[in-house]
Amino acid sequence: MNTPCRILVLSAMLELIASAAASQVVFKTERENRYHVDPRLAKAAPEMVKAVHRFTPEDEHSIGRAAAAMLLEGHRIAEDQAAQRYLALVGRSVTITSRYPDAYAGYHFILLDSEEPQAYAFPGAYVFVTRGLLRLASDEDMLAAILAHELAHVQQGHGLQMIKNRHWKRFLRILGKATVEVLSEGLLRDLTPVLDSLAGDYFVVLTLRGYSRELEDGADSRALHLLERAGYDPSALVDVLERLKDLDHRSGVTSTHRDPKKRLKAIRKALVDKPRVSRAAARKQRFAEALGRLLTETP
Amino acid sequence: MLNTVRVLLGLALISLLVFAAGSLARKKNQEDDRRWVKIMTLAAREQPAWESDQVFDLYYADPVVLIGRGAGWGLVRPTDSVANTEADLARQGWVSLGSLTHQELVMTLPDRKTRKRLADPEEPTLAGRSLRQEIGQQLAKLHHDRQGGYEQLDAFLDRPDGEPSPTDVLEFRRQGGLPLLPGPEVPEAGR
Repeated sequence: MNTPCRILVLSAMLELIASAAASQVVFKTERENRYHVDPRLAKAAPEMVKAVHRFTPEDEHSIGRAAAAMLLEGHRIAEDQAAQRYLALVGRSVTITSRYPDAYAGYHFILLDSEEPQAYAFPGAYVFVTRGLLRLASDEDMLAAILAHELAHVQQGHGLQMIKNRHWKRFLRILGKATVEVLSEGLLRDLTPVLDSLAGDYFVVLTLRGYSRELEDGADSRALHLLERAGYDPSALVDVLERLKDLDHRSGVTSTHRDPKKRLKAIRKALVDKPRVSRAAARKQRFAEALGRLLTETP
Repeated sequence: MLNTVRVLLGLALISLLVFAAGSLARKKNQEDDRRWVKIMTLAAREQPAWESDQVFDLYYADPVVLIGRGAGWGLVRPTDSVANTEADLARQGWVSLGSLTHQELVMTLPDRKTRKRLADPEEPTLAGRSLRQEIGQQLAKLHHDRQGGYEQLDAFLDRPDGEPSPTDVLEFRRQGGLPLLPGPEVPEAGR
């Protein structure tokens, strides 16, 4: 590329970045069509804004609530109130000793009436687990391990981190295409529409693709810490993953989470220096009382 | 060749400055359109406000009396200086605490008159909004497609035997042989 071309590319990039700074105007422009803004800029700016925006707890709650509603369009909440309360008590038992004992609008642990083994952690502290996933647990410490992994995603803000990364990638892709158009008109005709909703993005990313390997490893590491602080046996996470690895890799939680075998290796390494924690009989007993009937029902 | 480069660079910078200046002017115009705050009947999880009814509007810089608080939300009513009637004073509603400020506030209205409120520790003042309004609008567009999901979620959250209280959780921990004080904290990545 010769120098004038490079200057043109630089010029186009500067213009796009300036448009991103004026993104609120661009939003208004798209709604009311009152101002003239180059459509190339209008498409890039919202991506930039979503990528750099610092979400408030209120924003996170709104996004999580909307994503939760989307999930519940396809799932039913289990009607067993005793099981729901037990799930909430175990979940809150893990959070109450954590660095973030409270969430903006509270933590919500919701048991879904589904046999597909799956768990979701949405912003705003909505944690969903299915009955099928609970079948993998045989005591309270294992249930706490499942919830601790999902809570780690919530407390470390992994969901919004994923979304921001996604918007950065889109912004750069659009920027690149728009820059090419400056040099050759017409190449932008097939530009992919980009104005997805944040909640929609979140739902798609988490329910179909899952978290990245780094975020999954981070959640496992944080889950061990949450369990340790709460007094539960951290090695219960190993027990859960041992059962997970025998599941069909193309469905359920194994399709949206990293390969359990690889996760197990890292977790076992982290547990080497940890003292062994006994699993109290009282916890095993109340697990059986609260969930026994639900989990022994024939699907 | 060098001159060509200089001219192109100059044009790029001029274009950037013109665009930025235009954006600032339009932004100011936009702020004029954002002078209202909707005071809603419901707080917290019902926001953004698609499920809540509007009780009344207040101008930015209008003072309010904060008579209650939720998680991130304040229950407010207009003050004597804002209310026109006795009925106005009886009305109360929820507003995001992020919309309130105790700081001095100066607002320029569309007719270019300036409204100014001095800092007041007793009566907060309605202040600006943020991108979350845009997010709320985008989410609201999707809301109609998810009515069943919201209904199911709210029915669950409103269940009689709802979320356990901290006392319930501590008793649960005690019965399960779990320590009431947390174990040691270690540095962590993330927020």
